[in-house]
Amino acid sequence: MTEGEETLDAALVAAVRDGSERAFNELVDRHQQAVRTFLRGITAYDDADDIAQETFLAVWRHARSYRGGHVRAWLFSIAWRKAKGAQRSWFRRRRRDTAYHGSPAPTRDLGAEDRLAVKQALAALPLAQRAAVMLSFGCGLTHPEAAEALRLPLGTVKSHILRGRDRLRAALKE
Amino acid sequence: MNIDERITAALRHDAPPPRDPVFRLQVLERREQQQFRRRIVQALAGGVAVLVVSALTVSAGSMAYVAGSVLLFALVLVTGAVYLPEFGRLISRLSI
Repeated sequence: MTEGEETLDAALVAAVRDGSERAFNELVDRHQQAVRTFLRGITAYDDADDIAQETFLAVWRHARSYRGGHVRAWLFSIAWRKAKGAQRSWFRRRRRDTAYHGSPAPTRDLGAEDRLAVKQALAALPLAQRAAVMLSFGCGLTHPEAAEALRLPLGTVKSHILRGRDRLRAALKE
Repeated sequence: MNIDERITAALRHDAPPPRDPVFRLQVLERREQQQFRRRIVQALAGGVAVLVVSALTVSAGSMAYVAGSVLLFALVLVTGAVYLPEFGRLISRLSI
């Protein structure tokens, strides 16, 4: 993300803080893809959009809590907190739906097999590791940005990403 | 395509479109619903407060002037609490 985009994001958050509908719409448009991609990677697919909506509503209500820094990392930190909050009920649903998630439809092309292997390996990672991998690979955040979003030490995040990447690589090589 | 690029491509495969007006409308609709619920709760709380103050006024019959002032003050407070945030938002929109 360029410095100009960072400045624009900060200006949009400042305008949202003052109650600007237009700025809020722009902020949603600019970041919904990344936030939803992240959440689709770490929660059940059907819950991801619901949590993403809650994330943006929290932005609208609590824009005053933004204290500078990367807006994208701030958004991801809200999404991460919401996802963790939803984790308990999600685990319950996941247990109930194991049969559905565990037996995906057969695929023919290699690309689909790759995707399936990565998704299954990703789902097997611990939640924090999965979140770090999604932020880094799925959303293109730098390691410091990912650490800021997850509120974890940089070293821990790097370790999560390395271990997670190794597991995904192994899944692709199988 | 190397293995890391394959991982990235696989993780981004389910990404939603870069612009998704439907999602934005869902967010706005949900926000309106929440605001509506909040206003209803505020109005109900205001109604209860007015009822309580009115009951106190009636029971304090001999102090009609003081009780009436208290009632008026409570009404002003309740009205302010319910409508002032919306009024402030309206003013800020007009000033843009």
